[in-house]
Amino acid sequence: MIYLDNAATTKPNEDVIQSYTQMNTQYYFNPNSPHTAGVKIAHLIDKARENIKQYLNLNDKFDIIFTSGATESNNIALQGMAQMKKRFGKTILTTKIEHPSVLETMRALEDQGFNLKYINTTKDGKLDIESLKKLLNDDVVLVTCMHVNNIMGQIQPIEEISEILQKYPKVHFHVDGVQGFGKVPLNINLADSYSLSAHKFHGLKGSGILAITQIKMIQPIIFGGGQEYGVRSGTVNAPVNIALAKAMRQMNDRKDENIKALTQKGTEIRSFIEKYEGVRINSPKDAVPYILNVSFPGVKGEVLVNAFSKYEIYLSTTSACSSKKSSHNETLKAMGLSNMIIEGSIRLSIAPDLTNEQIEAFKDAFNKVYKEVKELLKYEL
Amino acid sequence: MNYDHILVRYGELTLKTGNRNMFVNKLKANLKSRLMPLQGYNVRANRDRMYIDVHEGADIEEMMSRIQTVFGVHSVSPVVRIEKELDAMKEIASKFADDFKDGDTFKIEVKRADKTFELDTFQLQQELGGHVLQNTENVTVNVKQPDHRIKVEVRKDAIYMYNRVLEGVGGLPVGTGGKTLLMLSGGIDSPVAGMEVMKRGVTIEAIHFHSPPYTSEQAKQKVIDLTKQLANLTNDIKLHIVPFTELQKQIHKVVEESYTMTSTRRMMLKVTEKLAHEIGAQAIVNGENLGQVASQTLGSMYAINSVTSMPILRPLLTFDKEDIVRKAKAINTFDLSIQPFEDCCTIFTPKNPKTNPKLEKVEYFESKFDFEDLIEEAVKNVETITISKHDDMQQQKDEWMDELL
Repeated sequence: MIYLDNAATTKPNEDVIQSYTQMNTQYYFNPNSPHTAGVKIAHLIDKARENIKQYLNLNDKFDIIFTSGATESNNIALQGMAQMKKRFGKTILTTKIEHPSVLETMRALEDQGFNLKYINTTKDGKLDIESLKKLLNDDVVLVTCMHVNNIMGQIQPIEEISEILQKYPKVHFHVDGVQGFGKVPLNINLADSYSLSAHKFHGLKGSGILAITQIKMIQPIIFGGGQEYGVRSGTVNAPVNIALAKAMRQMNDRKDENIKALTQKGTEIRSFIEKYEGVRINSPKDAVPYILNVSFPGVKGEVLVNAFSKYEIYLSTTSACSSKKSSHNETLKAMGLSNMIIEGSIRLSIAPDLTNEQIEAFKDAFNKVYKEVKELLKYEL
Repeated sequence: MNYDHILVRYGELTLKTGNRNMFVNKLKANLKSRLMPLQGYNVRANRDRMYIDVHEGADIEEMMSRIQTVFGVHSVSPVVRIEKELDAMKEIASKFADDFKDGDTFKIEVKRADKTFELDTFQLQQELGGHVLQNTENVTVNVKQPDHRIKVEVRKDAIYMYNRVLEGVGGLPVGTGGKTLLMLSGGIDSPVAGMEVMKRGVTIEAIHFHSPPYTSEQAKQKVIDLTKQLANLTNDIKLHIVPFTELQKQIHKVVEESYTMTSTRRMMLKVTEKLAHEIGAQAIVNGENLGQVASQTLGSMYAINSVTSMPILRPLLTFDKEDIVRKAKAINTFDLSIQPFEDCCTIFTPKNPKTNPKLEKVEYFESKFDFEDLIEEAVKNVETITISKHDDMQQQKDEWMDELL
């Protein structure tokens, strides 16, 4: 089996699973219980928070909220901050190429009376700084954008955005960091909040964090026992939170070698595919090396996914979160690609542990699939 | 830079004359104990300052940050010890300059304790400054506001060179000012009060009132943890835990409700005084603050204080709450203190405590029962724990955490 769908989810590390199991068998106590065992777990969670802040190099303005994943983190940050800030202005800005957990939240805020505006993106999928500058005014309270695009792997200009927003101190700047953490360097202190999902970096599904400033001012969207600074009530899921901290630690420890491996292997696959006539690589050259969007114009993405599945190679069409929807992918559309290219696109996303043998086997399979669909390819578009 | 020594300067104790050796020896002992878990050093103290030889590979930064927190330390510098030879001095001076950036300015500051050294202050400044200028590109001398100061001390035994002076906490070495008994409640204030008196060189033991089953094991553990934090600032601290349930029950039986708080404090003070005599303490310390809560009005203090003639030190008397919180955070007791466990002060709190209790009235209520036996009993059954800063339990705690994280 060759797994090339790591942008959808990654394989959890053994050590992470072990922490999770040990938490559930030996340390299953509720950290909010007043007895010694509970207190012990509360200390452990505190230490996990401290560690996470260290791994992310965060300054003291940030607090860490454990969530069920980046979707929830995005919701808490965007809804909570918008509600808190609405006294100061009602315009919120994002791009059309965000993840559904951001886009749908922003649309829901629009329904509540916020004035939603979309920042343009350039042809190669980057947020257009000039467009952002034009949209900014005194009514803007929230700007959100992803760090690394999940479809194309394009890296967004977070540093530049942050610099521009310095002139608008009431704007809360949220960054969806899901695809970037541990693989693309970023000074997260440039943002006001930052979301992560554990299962994108070899942790467990159903867990994530929101690193956020001004936690005391945020309006909760879940009410209850006041856990997680009162922002996200509900019994603390200590085992997955601890497992998340472990996954982050390992990601952090192996950061350099991971980046090296991803660059080397991603580049190799890219230059291999480039040679095939009629196959188009949609990911721009300056995108991350570990996400590669490829089109076989004239062949449906779904057909390709099935064709590769025959060789036990697992990849996906666009993103997992929208692959089951018939609508054309927003990111590819925003990049001005034709319907045929969009319909014929697949996404390969790799992990650092992809072996050379697997790469060779992938090349073999790619060649076979190419021959099978060659006749359908539309060379001239 | 390869520092081979740490220079420790004393604060106030240099004002002492007759018994300075006692202060210095105490400081030396406290400092050694603070450095205990670390490896690779040797402490030499003289009347004016202390030199710590640091062996190669030892963690000098960790050592300095520990030393900074020892009461009695005025400042700390990492230094290089150099033979009294000009070429060697020049070489080290230009090593200091290695870290300078383009366009930086510097100054050589010479202090000559040994007046017999062949070069005078001005000559030394010129020689060393000239050497640095020659060997470092794009730096200039600025004697008024330099970016860097290379400090040179000429002393009898050698030359010491350094460029950093880190502030210490000041105060006097703990153990030079007699012994006190600290009333440790588990709240935010009392640990800070303990720290404040320790800073004046005073040794503390702690007393805590425990009322099982009304107060939990967690409440007790919290006080143990707090004591541990205080021990981290100095040495081992003895914690006396007083079984207080019987006294508390009896107070509630005979004293009118609005006076129970006043009476409870009086009983605590009586127990504390007795214990203080037993352990040879000369004063009681508590975290009382003027006007913070009902028991801390002048009227209350008068009625409560009347049971003892022992001095009661209240270092936080005039502090603002936010200052106390800031200090509590600095000594790592704040997060422990805010854990929400009932203690014996909160568990029986009357609805409307008297803020201005009358001494005659409380004495009248208490006269209905002879509390002396219960007080004796409580003092007799005190559980004493010695809390050490080098706590293995803490280490174990971290180990299991590290495995999971």
